[in-house]
Amino acid sequence: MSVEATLRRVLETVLKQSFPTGEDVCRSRVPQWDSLKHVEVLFAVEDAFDIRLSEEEMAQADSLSALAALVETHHAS
Amino acid sequence: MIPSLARLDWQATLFAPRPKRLDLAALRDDWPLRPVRVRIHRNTPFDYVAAAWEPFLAYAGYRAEISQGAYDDSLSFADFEDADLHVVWLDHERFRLEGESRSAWLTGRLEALRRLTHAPILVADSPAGGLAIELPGVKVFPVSAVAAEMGDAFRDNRLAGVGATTLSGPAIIQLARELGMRWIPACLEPALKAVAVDLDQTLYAGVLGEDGPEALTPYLDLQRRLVALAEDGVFIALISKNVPEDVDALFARRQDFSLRPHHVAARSIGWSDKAQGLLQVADSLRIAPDAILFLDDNLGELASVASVLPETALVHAADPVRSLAALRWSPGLLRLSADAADAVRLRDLAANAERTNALHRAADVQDYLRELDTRLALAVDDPTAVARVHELSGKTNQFNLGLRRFSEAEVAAWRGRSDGWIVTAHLSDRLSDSGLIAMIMLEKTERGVAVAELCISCRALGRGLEDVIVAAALDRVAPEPGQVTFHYVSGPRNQPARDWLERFAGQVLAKPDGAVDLAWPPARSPLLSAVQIVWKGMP
Repeated sequence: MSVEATLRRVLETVLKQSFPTGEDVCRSRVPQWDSLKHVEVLFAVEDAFDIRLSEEEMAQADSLSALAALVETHHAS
Repeated sequence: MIPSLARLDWQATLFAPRPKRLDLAALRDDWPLRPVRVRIHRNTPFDYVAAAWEPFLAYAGYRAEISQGAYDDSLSFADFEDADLHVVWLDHERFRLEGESRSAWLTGRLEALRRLTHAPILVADSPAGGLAIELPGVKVFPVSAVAAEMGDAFRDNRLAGVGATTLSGPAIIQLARELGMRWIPACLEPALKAVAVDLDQTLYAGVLGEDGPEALTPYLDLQRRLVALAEDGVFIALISKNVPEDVDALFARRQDFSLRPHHVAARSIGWSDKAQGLLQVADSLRIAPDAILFLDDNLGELASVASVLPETALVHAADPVRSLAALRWSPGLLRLSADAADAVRLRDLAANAERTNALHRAADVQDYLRELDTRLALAVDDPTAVARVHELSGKTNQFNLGLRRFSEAEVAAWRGRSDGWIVTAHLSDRLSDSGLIAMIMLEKTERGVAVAELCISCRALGRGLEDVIVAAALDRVAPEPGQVTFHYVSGPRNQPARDWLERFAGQVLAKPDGAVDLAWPPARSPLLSAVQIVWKGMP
């Protein structure tokens, strides 16, 4: 499964709604993505990709595309 | 699909050392779930654990309906709503009090909660541990044990400011698993009574009949865990398609096996199918098939058992690591109230064979009871018996007149009534100590006394003692002539209790549920003189 597909699955699982393939998912446009859900999203992403995000990266991770970029960065390093 | 079989597909994920969130999310339950209302009292978010515990609870057969109180460091319970279970979820670092002072303050708050509800209460301790609470029906959920096991991986300060939690992602999963698969089932239902284990490729690597006893490699960690369960009062049974003499020789020759014959309470070794083997084991242990957890490496055998005994919990012993994890995580193995009854259970069972011989030799029941030097130690409102009375109320199915399933808090409250009594009976004879085997909950009525609940452990049945226990208890609490009313209900398994009541009262139970009135005292039972009766804790 691609990084994007896995991240989409993470977001759909935590936020309990479907997001169409190909569309970015932004925290600012998803009411359910509150601070509590953000913690769950971040833990699920770290779990799924076996990475550990820094505090600064956690603050930046406010969309699917941002999360994908972070995952790619960690996998490249 | 039969639920016990469907659950096998979940075991690789749920029993993993560190279950993955997406793997957990992919699990789909396909069996009925019992709703359980859980009220969370908190000073820190419980949401992370609640979001993670669904699959663990589902495996145990539950779906939680959560309501959460406001964040409240004072634990005022001002917004109290009752539920089937209360969880007090705390960040102890928010409290200024420490050590015994904190325990004392928290005890006071939990006493207040106890006055509001009779439901079980779980209170989370701190990662550092040290919380001691001694209240009926209140158990400390050991966050500290999870913290100790995980070490540095337990805490994560990265999201403390954003998410108001210092629990790490893996810690949240582990806490959710402890609650969902162990502690909440332990609060809501009786513990399992037996673990039955296959032999070949389950207790050891190899096949006894093909490889011979010397070539087998024992799964020692698994065996040691079974020994520990046996010492805690869980019956261990062996069920295997093997030649019985070969199994005897195996244990005689392999002294390096941690599990020894004296740890085994029952066995079915032969060529009958394993469902029949489980029924034989259940019968010899006087327990129901739904009180057994069965481990086998063979999926075909498990499917066969499930088709005959769908109520028996199953574990696919795919490898010894999975089996060991199953003995940690399987719902029903955690016992919240360890007492002497658990420890004596195996010895008492061993004595039953000799009791049966004594019964065959005896001229009559009185002769039998005298020959065994049967003794009953009765008590009224024994404060040390609350947990055991609750256990009897919850676990006893056959000799249970009212099926009221009192919580520990309800038992404690009944004990405190000025118009109610709880009489307990501790049984022993020259062969063994059977422990506390009976309880009667009584209350005063206008015309005398009512028996609200009567439970007798099946281990004590068949010796004619039911009449003695009830008669002695009624003589104590109802010394004046009057009327005794026995309340009863009809359940799926309590025919023995109803049959006894018909005989004792000399009346047919015309309705499925109802009450029987009996003039008291009746003619004195001759069995009373055949048993030594002592009273402690006089009212």
